[in-house]
Amino acid sequence: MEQLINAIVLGAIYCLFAMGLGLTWGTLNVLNLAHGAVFMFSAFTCYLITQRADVHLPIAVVLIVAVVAGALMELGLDLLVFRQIKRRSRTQGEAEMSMLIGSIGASAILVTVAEQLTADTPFTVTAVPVKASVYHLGSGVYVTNVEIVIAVVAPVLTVGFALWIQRSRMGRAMRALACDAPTSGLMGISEGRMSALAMAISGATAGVAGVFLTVYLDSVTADSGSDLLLRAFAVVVLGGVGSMWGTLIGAFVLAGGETLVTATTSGIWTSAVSFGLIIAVLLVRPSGLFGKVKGVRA
Amino acid sequence: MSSRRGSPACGIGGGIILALALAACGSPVLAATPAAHGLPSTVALYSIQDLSGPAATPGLDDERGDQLAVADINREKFLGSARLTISFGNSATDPTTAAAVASTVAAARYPIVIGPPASSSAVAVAPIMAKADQPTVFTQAGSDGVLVSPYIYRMTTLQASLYPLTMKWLGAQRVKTVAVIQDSDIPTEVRLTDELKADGPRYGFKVVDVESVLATQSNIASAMSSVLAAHTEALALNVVTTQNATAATLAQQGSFKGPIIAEESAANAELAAAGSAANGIVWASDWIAGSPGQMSATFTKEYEATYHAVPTNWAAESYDAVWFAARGLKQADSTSPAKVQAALTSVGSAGFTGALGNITVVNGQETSKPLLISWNDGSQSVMANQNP
Repeated sequence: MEQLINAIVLGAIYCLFAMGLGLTWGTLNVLNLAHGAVFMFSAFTCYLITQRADVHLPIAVVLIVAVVAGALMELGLDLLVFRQIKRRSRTQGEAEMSMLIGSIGASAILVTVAEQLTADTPFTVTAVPVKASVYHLGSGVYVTNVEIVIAVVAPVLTVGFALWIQRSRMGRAMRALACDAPTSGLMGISEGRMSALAMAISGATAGVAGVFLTVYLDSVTADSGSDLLLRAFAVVVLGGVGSMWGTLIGAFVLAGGETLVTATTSGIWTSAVSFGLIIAVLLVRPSGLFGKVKGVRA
Repeated sequence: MSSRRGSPACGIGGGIILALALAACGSPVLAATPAAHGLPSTVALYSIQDLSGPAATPGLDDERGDQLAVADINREKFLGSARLTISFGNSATDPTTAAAVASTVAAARYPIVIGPPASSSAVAVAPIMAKADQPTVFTQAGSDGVLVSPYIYRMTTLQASLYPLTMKWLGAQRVKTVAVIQDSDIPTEVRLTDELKADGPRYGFKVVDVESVLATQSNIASAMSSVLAAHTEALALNVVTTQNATAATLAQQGSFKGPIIAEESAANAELAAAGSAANGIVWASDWIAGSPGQMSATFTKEYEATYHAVPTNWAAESYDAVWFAARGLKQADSTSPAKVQAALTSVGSAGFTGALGNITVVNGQETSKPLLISWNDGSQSVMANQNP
């Protein structure tokens, strides 16, 4: 039962983190490998304010800081890196590859800055560690308030976002952009505005994930985003690029698989089995569980 | 998307020139030709450190310890009229980068090189230094494949030598069963788990469960749940960085009340984020700030005044590594590799007192007296009872 709680919380974390990655990949064809660094740097920004600048903030305000920091970082990435690359690229394929490499470079910069300023030691988002309240459910099973918040907020955010993408005007505009950018432009949809919005939302979700995970784990380091990034990538591929519903399901499938392997073996095989599972799914459904062929994404 | 074109040849040529220029800026300069007799007016050391990547924490501390030692050696005129300098190269906790830096450094013929702390980097550097008969002093770097030559030394007591004190303490708590969570991709952690399994019965306990995670894995909740489900009387944390604090918190949330032991990576405020959940965790170390000894106190005071931070054992080890190097140079009165090597071996065998206490270096391996450390109320301290 405890492992079930672990799987749910892990799935929620993966979902929250992968949502932003999937959004930009599905709508803008941008595989933003700086997403992990943005997640970490959002938490790091909170650390700088609450501990280096010694400004004590309640956790709710810390969360807002992280959301704003994440949104601004990915917006900056879009304006300063991705758009410049797109302008200078000759083909779509060249642009996508160059943006991928550009995002790796941006990630390295953010990670290095955090490493240098923390001497690569773990850091928290609040000056005083957040002590979680523990609720014992009997038979050795327990859950904390932090776990409950993560398990509720992440799926709610993802479902809300999936519905917004499907039913709102802006969401339809984003989906149109994903299908056919030039034609969307002719129809009056501004690629620049949609791109900025998608990146800002992606960064904001990274910020939320940064605070949640740091509080859940007690602390993170400058490298903490890289392991999650790989898993988020797997979640998006498993669920289907561009499908928020796929991201939601894919996150819990991956988390469930990993938890099952950890619980039944010594844990060494977790990554191998988890990623093997993804390969198996992709062999049967190459577009992922909920993926659609390119042209009808999002 | 534009269709700008430029001359590919110009772009390639410019790139090559830029790359060469950057490489030249970062390369170790050629050290002076080894002097057979007497020390030159400037003796240049080189320190290859993991200044970025997963081992950046010890690497950056090593850099500070090295610099402080060089400053002290020069201030005390320990080498007479000769002045010691030290340059740094970043192995980035990456074996390929470490090997590249080591190759350049070995060709430059420094009298002594200080090696990187991460085992992965050290194992890449050591054979290159060995082949070049380059006297090299490592700190940390506890895996096999480092002490591969009489020219190589390690100025850190092996964790495997510190761990028996921790096991002795655990035995004194009268526990019968222990569960372990370990980083399966770090050889040192696996070795400590094996040591616990093999030697536990001697101290009255048995390891009944081992759960493995990866060093880069942040979320270890599932593994910890399995560990707690074993309902053992004690826990052993053979993990690194944030995993220590996370494990301590999860143990408290799971109502675990027994003794918890860790290893040296729990030191240096890694447990701070766990708050009161980490109270009472015990491990053995070769040094912490506050360790007994005059030199330890002097080093701590100087470090705090210079860097406005509490020194770690990594800084103390690297400080003593440079002092070891200086003692070797003084005894050799030469920068010839063979003479330096002979002098280092002699100095190590005779022993000396450093920040770590009384140190001997036998067969390249440093030993100093281990200390039992505990974490309480946000800080680590030397336990009053060092003989449990």
